[in-house]
Amino acid sequence: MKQTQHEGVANQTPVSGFFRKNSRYLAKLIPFLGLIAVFTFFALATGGRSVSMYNLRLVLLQAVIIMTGGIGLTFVISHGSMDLSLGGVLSLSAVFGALAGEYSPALTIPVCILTGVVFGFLTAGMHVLLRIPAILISFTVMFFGRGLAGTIVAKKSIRLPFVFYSLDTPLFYFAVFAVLFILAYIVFEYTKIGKYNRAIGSNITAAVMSGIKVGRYKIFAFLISGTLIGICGFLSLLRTGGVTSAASGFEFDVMISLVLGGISLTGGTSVKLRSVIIGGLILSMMGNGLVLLSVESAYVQAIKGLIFLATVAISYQRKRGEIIS
Amino acid sequence: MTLKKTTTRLLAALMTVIVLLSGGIMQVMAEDNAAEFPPKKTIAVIIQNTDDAVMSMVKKLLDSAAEALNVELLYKTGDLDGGAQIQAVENVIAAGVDGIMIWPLADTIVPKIQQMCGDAKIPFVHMFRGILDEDIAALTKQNPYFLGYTTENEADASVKLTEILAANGNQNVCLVYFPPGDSTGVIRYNTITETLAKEGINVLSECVLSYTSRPQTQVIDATNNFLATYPEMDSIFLLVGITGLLDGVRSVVESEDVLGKVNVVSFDHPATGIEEMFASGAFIGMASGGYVDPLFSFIILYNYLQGTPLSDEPIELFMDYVIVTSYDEAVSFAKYYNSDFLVYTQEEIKMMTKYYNPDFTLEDLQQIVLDYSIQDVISRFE
Repeated sequence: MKQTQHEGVANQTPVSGFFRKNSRYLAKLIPFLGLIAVFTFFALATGGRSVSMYNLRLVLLQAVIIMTGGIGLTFVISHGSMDLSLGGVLSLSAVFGALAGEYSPALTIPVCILTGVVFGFLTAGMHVLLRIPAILISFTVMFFGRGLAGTIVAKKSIRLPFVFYSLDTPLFYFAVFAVLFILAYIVFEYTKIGKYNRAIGSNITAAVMSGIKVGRYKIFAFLISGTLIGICGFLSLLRTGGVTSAASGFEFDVMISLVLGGISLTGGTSVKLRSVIIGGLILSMMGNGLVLLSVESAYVQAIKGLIFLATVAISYQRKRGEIIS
Repeated sequence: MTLKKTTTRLLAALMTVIVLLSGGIMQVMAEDNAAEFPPKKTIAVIIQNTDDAVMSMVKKLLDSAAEALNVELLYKTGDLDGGAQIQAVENVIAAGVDGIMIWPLADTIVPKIQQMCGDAKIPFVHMFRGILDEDIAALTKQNPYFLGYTTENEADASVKLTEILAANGNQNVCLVYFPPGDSTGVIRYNTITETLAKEGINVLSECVLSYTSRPQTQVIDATNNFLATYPEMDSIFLLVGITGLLDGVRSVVESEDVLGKVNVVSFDHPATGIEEMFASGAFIGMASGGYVDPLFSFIILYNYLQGTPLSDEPIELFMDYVIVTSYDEAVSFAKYYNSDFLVYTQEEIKMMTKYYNPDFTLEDLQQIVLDYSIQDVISRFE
């Protein structure tokens, strides 16, 4: 017998009614609960070592570069694109910045940022003008960046000028991230760049019909991402003191952190910048906590992969074909 | 009150309780530890991997030493770029280790590592690597928590292997190596290219491998490319010898039917199968046996942790590679450098510590390092 809508509502228990009524809010709560769960698990399993002030500061510090990259990627994801070039561009940015620093330390930061901007523009330009999916172009840029950076560092070890070493303090990293996040939040929530990119991600046809210059706003998103990756390149240089090898898997760490933070990889209005912080902290806590628990490194990647899979499995909205609303 | 506000407050309260509860647990654990005597030392070992043929022997030797000396080893592997290694140091310091042994990927990350260890007052030693950059070396040696390093005489071994090629009549070589951003890589690369030039051997091509993209496959592709592009190639110089590289070269050389026509010299290859490779003429020279290097760094660190440092200054230990140039030497090498055999017994290791041997000095350790050779191993075990 077919049940009417009225009967269905009438058959709801107070509990199921509560969940149905608040389903959207509860879905948003999952990443927060994940963060709490990871925090709680490691706090208890490590006998409190993971929540010592020293370690909490460490977790934040280790998350900064991932989260900074995540801010930029959020802009790109919000309009429904994906940028896999992050690690390659970060490596190139660090290499060029360090090389420029050999001539004049004052050039290091501008060259790092400029490198990111140039590659962001190249990726966006080819995506928009040639209508090639951004994921394919950025995939190519990833290999190009890694290859070129790897070739340059293959012959010489490039060191950051000593003059920058005084900046290498947690306070500096936190301050840089805080400023970038606040600026990004304003741009994402209150300017056309953020609003239009999300509108494009929600429904590109509607966006075009509304008169939004889709190509232009996509380029803005990639330029923001490129700028932030350039800054990541400098932060990475600062943290490591030089360039050792091409950054391995950076783009995937950023992507995993965003998914753990509850971002919708299909873009749209549901994309929130808070995912950057939640996901970055979850990923950093996991990496740090597993070491505190003396888990063999060989298992750490496997555990991270399983948790990522579990997150996707729980949060994937099968009917909509999206990852978390 | 809305659901959002209620949830936020509940979560905040939950996190506060967890932090307070965890603090209590930590205090109880600290009291428990204080009751234990003597405290077990925990040493972090930050190393690229522990599962290839050479690194698994490093682990086996260190595990044996740790067992003999009541040390817990925390291995941190798989950190293949500078940022990851720095993160590893941060995390093991947070884990509360007593000391750190690290195989630094490059000189450039050493200033940060020495700063972190200095701030945390955690003693640390390098294994397999010295410090080539003079500014960084000077900075690091000022740190009282930097206890020193063990490294191999890379220049000597590089010259010897190049001379083996020259003596064999090889004229055209291709080089295979990882990015030489660290002191070992730089010394090897520079010495080998200079000596090749001096001996009049042409470098036809160079293949730079990537740590992160299956180097064993890369070397097979590189060898195929070398053979296709340079028919005049008569030798391949593997500046690194992780598991599978030599096997990859050999399989290509065999399948292309140039066994014995293209000769290979290599660093760091494990013992497995080398007799056959020397017998076939594929392999004509090898510098290896460096797997004992971390043991000497461990000894420096252990003595310090026991309150009996071997020196007040950073200790620099330089050890020679075991050079294998013939089938007979390969047979001896295979006998003593296989996974079932350790070249120092637990009793010998104990005697390298002041705890068990109060008369042990830095000079004694330096002599042990100086004496290290395959003849030394044979004389101690036969």
